[in-house]
Parts: sequence; C-alpha cells; structure tokens
Amino acid sequence: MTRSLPPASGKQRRRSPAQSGRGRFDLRRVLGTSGRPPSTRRKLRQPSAQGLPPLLPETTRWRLSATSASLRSHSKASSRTRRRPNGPTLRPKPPATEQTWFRLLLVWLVLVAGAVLLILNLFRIQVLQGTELKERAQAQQIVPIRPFAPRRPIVDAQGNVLAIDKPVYDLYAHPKLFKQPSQEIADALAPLISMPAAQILQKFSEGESGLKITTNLPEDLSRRITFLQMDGLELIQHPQRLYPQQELFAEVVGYVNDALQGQSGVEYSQQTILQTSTPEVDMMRAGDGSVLPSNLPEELLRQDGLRLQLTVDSRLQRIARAALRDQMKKYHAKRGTVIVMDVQDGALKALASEPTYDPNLYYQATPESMRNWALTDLYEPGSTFKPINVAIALEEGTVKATDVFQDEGQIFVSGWPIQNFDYDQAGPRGAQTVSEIVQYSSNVGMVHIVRTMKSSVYYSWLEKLGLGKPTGIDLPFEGVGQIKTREQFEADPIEATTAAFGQGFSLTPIQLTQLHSAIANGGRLVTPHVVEGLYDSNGELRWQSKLPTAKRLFSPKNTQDVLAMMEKVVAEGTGKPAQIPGYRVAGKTGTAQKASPNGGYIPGARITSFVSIFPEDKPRYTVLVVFDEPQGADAFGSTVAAPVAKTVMEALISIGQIPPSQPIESSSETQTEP
Amino acid sequence: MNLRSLIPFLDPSVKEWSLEARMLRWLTFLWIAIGLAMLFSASYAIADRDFNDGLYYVERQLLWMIAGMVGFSLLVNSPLRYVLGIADWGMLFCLGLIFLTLVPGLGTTVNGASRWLSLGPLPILQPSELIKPFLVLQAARIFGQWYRLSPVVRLSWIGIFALLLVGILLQPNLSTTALCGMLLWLIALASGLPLTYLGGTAIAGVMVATLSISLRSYQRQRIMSFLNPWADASGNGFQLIQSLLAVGSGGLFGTGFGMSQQKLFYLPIHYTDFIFAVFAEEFGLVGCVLFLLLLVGYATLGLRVAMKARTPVHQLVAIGVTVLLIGQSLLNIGVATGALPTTGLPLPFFSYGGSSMIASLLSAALLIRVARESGAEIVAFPNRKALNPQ
Repeated sequence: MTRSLPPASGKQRRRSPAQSGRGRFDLRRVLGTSGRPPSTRRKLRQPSAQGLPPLLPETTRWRLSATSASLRSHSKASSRTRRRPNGPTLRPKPPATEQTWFRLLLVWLVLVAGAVLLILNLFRIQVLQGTELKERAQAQQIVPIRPFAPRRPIVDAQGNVLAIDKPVYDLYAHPKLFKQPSQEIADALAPLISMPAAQILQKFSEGESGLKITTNLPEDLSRRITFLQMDGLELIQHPQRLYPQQELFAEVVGYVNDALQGQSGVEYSQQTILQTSTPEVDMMRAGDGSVLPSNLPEELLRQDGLRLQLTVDSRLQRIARAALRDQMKKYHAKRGTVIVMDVQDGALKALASEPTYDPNLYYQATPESMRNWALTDLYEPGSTFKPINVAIALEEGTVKATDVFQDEGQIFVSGWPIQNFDYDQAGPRGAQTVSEIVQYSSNVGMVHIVRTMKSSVYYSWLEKLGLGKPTGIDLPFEGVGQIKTREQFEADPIEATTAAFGQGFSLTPIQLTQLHSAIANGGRLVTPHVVEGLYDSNGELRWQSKLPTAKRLFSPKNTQDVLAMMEKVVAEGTGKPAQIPGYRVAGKTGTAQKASPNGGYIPGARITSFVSIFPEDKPRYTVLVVFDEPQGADAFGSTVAAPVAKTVMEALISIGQIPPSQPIESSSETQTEP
Repeated sequence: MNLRSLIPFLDPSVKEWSLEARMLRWLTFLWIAIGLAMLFSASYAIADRDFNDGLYYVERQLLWMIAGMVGFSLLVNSPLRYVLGIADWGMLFCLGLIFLTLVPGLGTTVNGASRWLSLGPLPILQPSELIKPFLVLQAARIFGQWYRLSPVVRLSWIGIFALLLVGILLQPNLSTTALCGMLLWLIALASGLPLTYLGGTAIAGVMVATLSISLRSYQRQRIMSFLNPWADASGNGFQLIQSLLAVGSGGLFGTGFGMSQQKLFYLPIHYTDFIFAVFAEEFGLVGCVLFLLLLVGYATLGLRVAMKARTPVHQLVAIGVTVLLIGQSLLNIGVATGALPTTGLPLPFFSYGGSSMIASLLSAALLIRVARESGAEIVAFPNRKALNPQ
C-alpha cells in the first residue's frame, strides 16, 4: 500500500501522467463524450498540484511535511497554470470543466427532481385527498359527547323539594385485580352493602372482571367503600331521582324509571322541560384518550338552576291525605280522592288519591296503587252534578231561581221509576222552590227542572261543558268521560231524566271539580293544572306554559244564584257536616250508585262525594272529596265525604289566611239553630 | 483565535465571506430556526406529558445546537485541508463506534434497532449520524483523487465504505444505509467516475438492499405497508397512516402553528423522524412548498459552491454535503408522505436528536468553508507563512 502511494512531493506530478489506469479511463471518456483529453488532464493534474493531504497509510510522513509540501506545490502550480506571479493569497481559477459541471448538475438535478416529485405528492395528499384525509383524521380526533345534565328539580308552591337528582353509586368488582383474598374483601363489604359475605363471594366467583355487586349505594356508603382502599372494587356514579316527600305527591309528581325517563305524573308530562337538553358537543380528543378542554362550549358546565314549580301545597296535601286516609279506614272504602282547585285559574292546590305508592320504590308498587284515579277513572257524579244542571237551566232561561216545582217523590219516565233517595221515608215533598230542590237533593224536582229544556238544547249544554272531552290538565293519562250520542240522548227522554240527577254519563273527578269551579268563579271554564312554571334560583319566573283562555259557560248572576242554593245545602241541607263556624261554605253532597263495567249498577256499591265551594261570598277554592265504595249503612256523601272536605277547608283557612265572613260566635249560633 | 468567532452570530469575518458562503450561513440559520420552532410545536405536548416539562426536548435540542454551533464556527474558520486530514481517522473512529453498537450490552436498542450508544458520561450517541460528515470528506478525498490512487488504496477504501454500509445495515438501519449508499454513489457520480462502475455499483446496491429486505421480516413488512398502508391500518400501516392523516389535514394552508391535532399522541415519533408531518399539518401545502423551495435554494447554492470550488475534492465535499443535507431531507419527507418506505431517518435541523443536530451543523460548516475558500474572499491560512518560507 505504502509502496503504491505517491509521496507528497513534486515527484508525484511526474509520475501521475504515466499511471496506466488513468490512461484507460481517459480513453473511455473520450469515446463517450467526444472528450477533451487536455482538459481532462488539466483537471486531473490540478488536484495533485493542489496538494491534498495524503491518505491514511502515509500519515507518519504527512504529519511533518504534508501541509507545507502541498502549499508549496499549490503555489507553484498556480503560478504555472495562470502564468501570473503568486500573490500573498491564493485565488485559483475554478478548475471545473464542462464534464464535471455536467456531473455536478446531474446530482443537483436528482435533488431538484426529488423535491418536485415530493411537491407533486404533497399536492396529491393535501389538496386532492386532503378533504378525505382530514375527515378520517377528525373521525379519530373528534368525539361527540352529550354533557351530563341533571334533571331539573320539582318543587311545590312554597319551594319544598318534591323531586331532585342525587348521585348514587353502583359497585362493581374486578376479582382479577384483587390484592387481598376474596374472602377478606367480601367480609369487609358485607356490613356496608348489607349483603351476606357468602352472597358477595358467590358474585365474585362469577367472572374475573366487571361484576355488578350492588346498585344505588348512597354517597356516604360509597365513601366508606372507597376508604377500604381495596383494589379491584369500582364505584360508578350515576344520578338517581330522589323523592324526599315519598308518597305524598306520587300522583302529581310521578316517577322516573332507571333510565331517568318519566313514567307518570309531572315527570312524564313535563319530560322535555325537566330533562335539561344539552346539545351534543364535538369534543377534541387527544390520541391518548384525554379530552382537550380547548373547544368546550360555554354552557357545558353552566347549569341554569331552573326548577319546576308546581301549584300544589305540601301542607294542604299532607292534611288532605291524612284526612282521606282516616276516613277511608273508618268506612273501609276502596279508594278515595281529594281535589282542591283554585277557582280563578284552575291551579290544583292539592290532589291526593288513595291508595298511592312511594315513587322512590315504584318498582314495589301495585298497578292499582299507581293509578291516579282522580284523573284516569270515570264515575257517575250523581247529586254533585245537580247544581250544574240548575245553572244550565238558569242560563237557558227556562227556570228562575224563584220558580216552584211539584215534587211528587216518584215519577215514571219511559216506564222507569224515578224517585227521591228519601221517598220511602219522606214521600212526596209537594211544592218546592229550585233552591229547595237543590237543598234536599230532590231527584224528581231536578227532572222537572231539566225537562223545562228540550233534550237537544240540554244535550248541547252537556257538550258545551266538555263532557266526553278531556279537560286538558297537564298530567298524563287523563280519562275521557262518556256521554251518549246525540241521537241516543234525544231518542229517549230517560237519558235527559237520569242526567238531571247526574247519572247515565260519566266524567272524572277532576272534570267535576272543573265544572264546579266554573260555578264558583262566575261561569268560566278554567283549565286544571299543576305546573306553575320554571323558576330560577332567584325565584323569578322564567317559563310558563300557556293555558287556553277560559271559556264562559254561565253568567255571574246565575252562578251567584246557584252558589246561594249550594250554601243552603251546607247551612240547612245534606251538607251540614261541612259547616265551619264564621265561614260561608257552599256545597253539595252526592251518593251515587256505582256503574258496573258490564252495564247497569253494582248492587250495594256506591260512590259518595262532596263538592264544596269556599268561601261562598268570595269563592277561592273548590274542594271535591270522593270515596269509592265506602262500607256501612250510614255511608253517604254527607257522612263520609263532607267531614273530609271540612278538614281540608279548615286547612285552607289557616294556609290561605282567609278571614271569616261573619263574627264566629253569632254565626255558629244562627247556623246550628234550625 | 478570536473568541467571538466561536459564536456564529458574532463572527467578525463574515462580512468578508463570499456571497454563497454568507447566503448558505443565513439559510442554515433560518433552517435551524424553523426547525426549532417546529420542534417546540411538535414536542411540547409529549414532553409535558412524559417529563412534566413542555420544553424538555427544545431545551436539549438547544444545548446540542450550541455545541454544534461551536463546532460549526471552528470548522468555517479552519482550512478545509485540516479537516480533510483527519477525515479518515474520524471516519474509522465512527465506524468503530457503529460496530460497538452491535455489541450486545453497549448498544441501546430502540424499536428493534440498536442505533444508539451510551458512552460513559456522554448522553446517547448515534454514531451512524456522526459519521456522515466524515463520510462526505473521506468520499470526496477518495473519489476526488481517484486516478492518483493505486488500485489497492481504492479497493481498501471501497472495502471500508462497504464495511460501513454493512455495519449500519446490521444495526439494522436500512434508511441510513440507503442514505450513505446514495451519498457515496452521488459523490462518485459527481467525481466523474465511469458510468459503468457507477451502474454496476447501483445494481449491486439494489441487490444488497433487496437481500436485506427479504432477509428481515420487519423490513419486508414495512415495505409492504408502505405500498398499501390501509391494508393494516392498526398494525404496520399505523405510523404511515397517522402521518398521512396529519399531512392531509394540513390542506392548502394548514391548521396554523401549534394547531396540529395529530401530534397529540396520534402520530408516533412525531418529534423526531415524522416531524415533517406535523409541519405539513400546521402549514399546509403552502408551507411545504416554501420549505422545499428553501431546500432547493440550499441545493442550488451548494451546486454553485461546488462549481466554483478550487479542486475536485472541494467540489465533492460541497456536493456531498448538499446531498447529505438536502437528500436526507427529501428522503425524510418522502417517508413522512408515504412516497418511500417507512424508515427512521431524521429531518436535519428539525428532528430532535443531538447526533443529528451536530452532524448536520458540521456538514453545513464544511459546505460554507468550501464556499469561503473558493470565493473571492481573502481566506486566511494561519500557518502559511510559518510553513511556507517562500
């Protein structure tokens, strides 16, 4: 190797042209490129003249002499080739020839071609396929999420919470992650979740991950499980609907199922309002699964704090329900309901029906107890409908309040005997004013009053009252009353005859309350409702549903007359048990035979009811009390239902702070006298 | 030596440099600046997650850059012949390191390839990166003086070059092998070697590459996935698909600096070998074209320097550095955009990595030094008077 290397001295220049290899390559190049041997030679000689450091094997010598030698030789070469005296610096002419220029250009072209191809490829990717690739990228980067929004709370008129979301926890076990023996974990859990350790162990053995042990653990228990600090246990939080008043408002508020979907009551009918609707949000997600907070919508974590306020009053409801229960127990009634309605706007102040259920434990309730029958079930109103008939006749002008009718005690219409409830004891009552007919609840008298109208006119009035149509209450599953068709009704006089004392058609207790409210408020048919509206945390109304405008049925003068008659019922007639000292109460009892689903009437089964309007001089509330199948010979509207109505009205007096109409001492005396 | 000349921005001699030298210097700095900005954007999220320090990689890259800048300043102010004089030793030293990485226990294996070497107190080194400037110098020396060399010397060095390629290939590091092979081949092409030699070598190289691919299943799978990445989108094609999604998301104008979504843990190794995908996503086609224009401008300046160079060796150093920096960049971009098989090759001045940063800075310094020595500048040869009594 050393032998063949040129020494770093002037000697190499003399040797290099003679190198055999070089000559052969030169020839090739000449052939290939019509070359220029001189230029080639010059180019090849130049490097040697430049005196580059020799290659590795010669280093020992080079270290001492190479630099000086090369510089020396370089200056010599430069002075010779350029025929110029060498200056203090080196400014050699570039030695490149066309040949090397071409080769250098070729390398450059390779690079430029590469760049151009890459630009074309980038154009393809970023512009031609850009949209598609971006979509694909976003498919992995964007996750649509629906932010958790708690269901709005429901409160009563005073703001007492009736329904609210609370977090509860489901307990899952992942036995493959257990650090302690299964037995130890089961023993620790057993007292907390009130489940035998053996049963927990049994569940642990069902798999190695994702085993549901128990559900709906309250927050404090979940915290105690967390404090156990045992691996392999997982608590998953989810909201649960809590009804703090338990069964008190079950028929109004209703309940939600496991999926937090309303199933009855306001929870069902106001589902869209209660379920705060948060729109689906596209969230940017990083590759490791974390969500980027950059484009969170502003309203994501902001809750509006709105709550759904109802018109019902917990205090009144509690009293009404207690009275209802007592009376039901006393008379062994199957069912009972109390409805308190604000006569001016149809707002329900109380709606209690028995039996009922605890919405927190809705899954344990019987279908019968979950039935809000005041709303869903139809009944024949009986005598409680008589004041309505009187109002119709007065409004139609066929009867005046002062008119007198003969009460034979018993008449026959189309071959059917019609008699007063007390015909067997009292016999014919003789000449009776309209007021007296109402006061003594005379069936025969009512038939005479109604028959002053043509049945077609009377039928039109029943239609106008809304019989056979829903009231439009904002609670779900409202029953629709039944009424004969116009043809049937007009074909047989018995239809109008039975309707005169409230039989032969059916309606819901709610609808009857609505009709009596029309008597109370001067003749307007208001829409019953329980939803007041959405209120914010400052107590300001933010939303209210629009109720239909009340339809006018009767003139205030006529309703005034009917109210006076109904006051007489309480003051002197069947409604005496509802008397409240110092207050003027209008009312009407009702004791009707119970219609059988198979047609006709169930023997011995009756529905007793009492409807009252209070206070009579400035009506504010309608109270309807209905008992289904109370037992006992003394079970009448006056004995069973009226006392409950009285209790409710007494509660209304204290809650509504209603002043008495006359001095209490004197009024009680005058009323007890007759 | 003036200490100021160690700091590239304060080097007092710059005013006297040739136009090409000055332009190359500024283009290099611009390139580094863009690269650092991109590294900041690309690495912040992952550094924050892994080290709780978003600037972890940028700080280290800056330190490496400062170290590289010192070397850069020394090189642009040192006569090229000094560096050429130690090129062979430097290259053999790095070659030794490359073979050390193959020794089990010494090499640090990452992603199935042992390319890194921990040298005592020194952080992890990548000898296959550091060898690149020496390889350019040595190849320039050999091919520039080809006809002056005896066949034995030629064959010896060809053998050493081949050994180098084999060493890198055994790591295994197909991409660096390919880059070094192409580098050698293009330097040889520029040197004026006969086309028959070059053609033969090219065929041999392709055959070796084919053999390597067919022997190593992981390389073969990569090749396959490059041809149709969507066939195995969650496996072999994953890296390339994530890269394509990033590049494609950029569209015409990009998402804006720092706004890449794919860098958020979708695209693996996005702060090293695939940093261009982040760049393409953030700056779009417009940014990519501008960057490629910068590369073409750099290459054109390199070509001018080569054409003006005083000697064939200088010519080859200039064109070799150009091929090294620009060629490597183009290969990297080609990989990131799916035009080439997925291999690990850093993008000079962009990708995080000390070895790459230093090697690239030294290479750029070599090119600028050639430009200085061949331009109109009065280049100082410090020892000339002492050594040249004439």
